[in-house]
Amino acid sequence: MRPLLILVLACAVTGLSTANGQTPAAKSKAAKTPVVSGAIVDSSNRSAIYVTFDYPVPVINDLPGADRWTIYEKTQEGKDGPPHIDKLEVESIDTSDFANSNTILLKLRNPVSRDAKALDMTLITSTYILHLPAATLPATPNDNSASQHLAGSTGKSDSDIYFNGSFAATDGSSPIYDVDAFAGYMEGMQRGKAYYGEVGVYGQVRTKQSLTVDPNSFQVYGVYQRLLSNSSHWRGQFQMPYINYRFAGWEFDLSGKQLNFVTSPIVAIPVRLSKKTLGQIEPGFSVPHMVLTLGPEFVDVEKSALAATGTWHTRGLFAASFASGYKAPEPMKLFEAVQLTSSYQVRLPSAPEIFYDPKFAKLNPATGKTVTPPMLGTQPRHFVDTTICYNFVKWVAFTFENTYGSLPPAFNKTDPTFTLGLSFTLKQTSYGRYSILRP
Amino acid sequence: MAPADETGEKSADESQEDAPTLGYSAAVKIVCDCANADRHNLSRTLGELGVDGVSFKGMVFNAISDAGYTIDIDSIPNASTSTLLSVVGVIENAKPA
Repeated sequence: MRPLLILVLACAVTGLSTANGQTPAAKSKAAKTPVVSGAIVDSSNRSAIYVTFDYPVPVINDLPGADRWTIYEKTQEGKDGPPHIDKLEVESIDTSDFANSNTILLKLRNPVSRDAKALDMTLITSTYILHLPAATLPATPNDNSASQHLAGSTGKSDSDIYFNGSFAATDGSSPIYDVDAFAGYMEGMQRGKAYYGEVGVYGQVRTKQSLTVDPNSFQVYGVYQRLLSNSSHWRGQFQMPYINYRFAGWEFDLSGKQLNFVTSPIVAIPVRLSKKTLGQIEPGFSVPHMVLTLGPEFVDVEKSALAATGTWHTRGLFAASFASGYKAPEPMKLFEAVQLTSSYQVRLPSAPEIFYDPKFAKLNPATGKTVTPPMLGTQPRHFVDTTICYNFVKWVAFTFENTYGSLPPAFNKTDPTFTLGLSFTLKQTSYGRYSILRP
Repeated sequence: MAPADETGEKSADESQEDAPTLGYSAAVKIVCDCANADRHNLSRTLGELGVDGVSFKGMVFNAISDAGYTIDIDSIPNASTSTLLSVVGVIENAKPA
């Protein structure tokens, strides 16, 4: 095989931050200066502000008294006049729960106003001045959380909109493109206290080593998602399983030669590789976890280059995904995070299905080109995808990806291949990523 | 930790206007239970804790319902970059069912 000159098709990366996210400023304090990860005004008592520290946490006996805290509230502009700023006095500090939660309680002499738009909080000690991140205020009836539904994402596993594109320029022949993308959105179905699950739409495009930009696997689904029970408890290392019912979907290739209608109820079982309640976790490290999925895919072949059409058959589906990673606890030059995601899925068709295997390719003497013929079989259809995502800055990442196997509907089998690319990611803060099976 | 409202003085206007909510302490307990993590991890993200966001969101909603409150399920953050603290900041506003 000719050596390939790997080039990268770069993609822009865009993100919107959530109001509740930790600000970079909180992380950028000098070593040994305590870091505050968040401050929350108690919605049931506006005279209480809970301040939670992250690493490095302060020595609690070294924390100064109430007079060292400076808190200003800024009220929003209203009908009565322009915004104004008032000082809030801290009456006392309760540190009795600090050893259990890294959290202290600031008790105010007067409550935070209902008109407060923002709090400016500062702790001044003899050795440092600590400006706190924006405090979370209790919601008001006019709060509109819709503006927080999209946020920048740091990798494939927490994205609902993802695009990874790359191409390899070969010596003396056409470049080889690679596209891996998906997008989706889930919305809860709820009436008051009654919850009926979530419904949404997902789409996925995948091609590997095509000689033209011709994605060989398009999948579009309507998805219904719901926990299997109304429990809120773990069972050992198992989180509550949920059903992903892809109630209506289509699998097709760009050439239009293969079109399948699919309906598929599958169960997803999240597993964390730690059985007990997690104690204190160091920042940056991600506890390894998996999602196991299994269920049937009922397939109606509507159009095919070789397989019989107009008949239903079933695929047994088993899939497993794994994710772990490390994020820099403090800002580092050219290193934000590294994440490993890996997934495996196998489909077991009950009737002969189409597939393309390059090892059966033949030379067409008329055109002089090598053509891979469609074939039929019931053999298992494996697919393995392992991705290492290296974020050198937030929202921008190099991805190193290794894939093997085939995906519906055409099941173009590919040998293990490696690609390098840059990722575009954007996520819903409330997402249903696993409904399309891959991390 | 002593209940904060023993020391806080609410004005008459504040007391009349504030609707009852789930509150911070109950929200912390629910979030930590649903992440199967202790309260030292309030600053950690769901991804760091190895928590599946889909299951977590449903479990938090169920726990809020069990406590007699309700919240818009789509407002519960469940991305792998969401910290437990950010979830607490949202669900403490849950209203009585």
